[in-house]
Amino acid sequence: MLVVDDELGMRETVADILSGMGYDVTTAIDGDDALTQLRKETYSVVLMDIRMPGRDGISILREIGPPPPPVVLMTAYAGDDELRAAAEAGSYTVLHKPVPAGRLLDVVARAIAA
Amino acid sequence: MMPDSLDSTTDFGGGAAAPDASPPPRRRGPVRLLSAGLFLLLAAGGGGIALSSRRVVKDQEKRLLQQRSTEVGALFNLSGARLQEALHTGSTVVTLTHDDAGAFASTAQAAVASRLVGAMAVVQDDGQGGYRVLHSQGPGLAPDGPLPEPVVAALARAGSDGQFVSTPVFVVDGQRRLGYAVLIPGLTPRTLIYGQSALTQSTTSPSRQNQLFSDLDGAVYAGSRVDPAQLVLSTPRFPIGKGQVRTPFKLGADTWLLELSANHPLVSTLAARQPWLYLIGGLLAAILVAALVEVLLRRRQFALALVEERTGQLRRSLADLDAAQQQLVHQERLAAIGQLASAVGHELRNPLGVLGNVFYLLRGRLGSDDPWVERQLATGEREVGAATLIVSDLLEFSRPRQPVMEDVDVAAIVDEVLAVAPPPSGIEVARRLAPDLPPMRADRSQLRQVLLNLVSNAYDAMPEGGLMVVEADQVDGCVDLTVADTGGGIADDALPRLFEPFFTTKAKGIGLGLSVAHRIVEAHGGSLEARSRGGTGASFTVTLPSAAVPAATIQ
Repeated sequence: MLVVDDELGMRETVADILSGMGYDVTTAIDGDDALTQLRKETYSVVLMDIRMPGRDGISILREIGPPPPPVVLMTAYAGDDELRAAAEAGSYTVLHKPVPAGRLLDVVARAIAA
Repeated sequence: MMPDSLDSTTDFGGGAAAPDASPPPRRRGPVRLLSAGLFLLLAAGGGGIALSSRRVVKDQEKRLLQQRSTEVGALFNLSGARLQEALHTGSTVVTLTHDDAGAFASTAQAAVASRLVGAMAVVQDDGQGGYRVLHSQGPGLAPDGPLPEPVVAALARAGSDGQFVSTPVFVVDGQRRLGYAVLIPGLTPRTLIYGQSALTQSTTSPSRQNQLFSDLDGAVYAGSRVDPAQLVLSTPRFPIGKGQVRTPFKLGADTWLLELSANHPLVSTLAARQPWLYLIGGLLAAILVAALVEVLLRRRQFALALVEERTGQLRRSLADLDAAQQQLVHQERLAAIGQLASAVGHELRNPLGVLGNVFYLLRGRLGSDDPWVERQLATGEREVGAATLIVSDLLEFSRPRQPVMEDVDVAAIVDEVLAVAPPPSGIEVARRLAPDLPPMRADRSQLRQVLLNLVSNAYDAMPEGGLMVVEADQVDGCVDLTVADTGGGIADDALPRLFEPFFTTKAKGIGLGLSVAHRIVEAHGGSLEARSRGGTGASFTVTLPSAAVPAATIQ
């Protein structure tokens, strides 16, 4: 799976938590990086921050596919407009940071099964 | 009498709106002393001018009458001159003709015919204190007849100066008579020419009167006194002795009296009316000026009251403006603080999230074999959770967002909250969730925040330890989720203010938790109720609609 976050700490810890559970995790530092990765390889789940420098998570979501993998968006704060846009772009769900590790793993498991 | 034009124009609009404004001034007050005084002064002035003007008119009238009287006297004087001429003619004839009766008769006839006298005679001193008539012409004077005593007295007065003398009015045979005589010079014994006229009620014709008195009323007396017995001549209806002016005039050697009255104004009509004009004009001016002053006074009073009222309104408006401005500044500052808080909160969420992840990873690597490590990890997780809740409340308060509804499994969210916020030591937690609970329709993240707040409050309410019960039941298509504690309860006066922002009874905390929880639940269309069980605890119940879908399908 692909973890996209511009914040080093968040990117690394989320990747560590997931790989600790046995998932194969790749990281990307921003939207463009994520698109490059997505063109190279197929992922079963994408975990992506909404607000990033350059292109944001929602615009990347619109470009992914077809067929798109389930995309779990994460955000520290999202206004009503962003949440609506995320739903319209077809996100699997939006997680509000900070996301407890248990909740994160739970959502990822459901997304893979979907 | 004062016009009160202010009555119709006065408008104290807005005056009643201000409770502390003084009542509007009475508009129908008493007439001011100033205007009343002005009115009296001007009226008195007008009256004074009218009076003095009336006196002037009277004086002028009298002066004019006097002047006319002198003129009339001159006319009588002229008559006297003609009479004297007639008598002298008789005298000359007697002297020249040496007492020729025929010559005298023709002269006397001419005099009688010219109506200067009624009869004419030559009379001579009889040496016995009387006079006898030598020759006579005209009625009432018989030759050799005796002459009455007043005539004799007059005849005795005639002197050699050529002036004729007149008799007083005397009565013979019931007829009033008047005589004139002139001395014939150079004859002995004393010989005189005597003329006599009978006075009728109206001795002269109206035309003659008119010629004499012109347009005046008056009377002529023989002698220098007003004496009805000596009345020679008067205009009809003239009140004898009541004339306005008396003028003596010369008739021969004697002084007669002329009495006159004006029977119409001698002064011109306009001039005669001047006093009235002054009086009316003065009164009108007084009324006008006093009314004007009164109106001005009232205007001024009204204006002053208005200015006072407007000043009050202005002052109040200024105060309102000031308060509004301060409130604006306050709100602006609050908004700035809100922005700052949300910015800080936003920036803190990521590091807090990372910290949480780090604790999770550490726990996985270090295991729970070592109680010391376990204790440190738990403390770190709890504090990260507390910091996260504070940040979330701040963000939710300063930038509230609409809930994004999804079906939320009640047991899962309760477990998650209890995992993130595990009970401190000494506090027991009881989960009493009804079996077969349907999921709640809620924004998962926001519901989690609500529960975190309620649970963390419950922990804080029991510093000495106690029991926290989390209960969930299905009621009429809704789910009731209750968090109850066995703490000290909520004071009665705190209960109504519980959901106010920044209201707190705790020593720590900023007082946003319950207010944010309340707002979130209301935004969901649900309700949040607080109950206090006296001093034995409190409970908070969130009621939200339940989903119609089976619990198995939710994530």
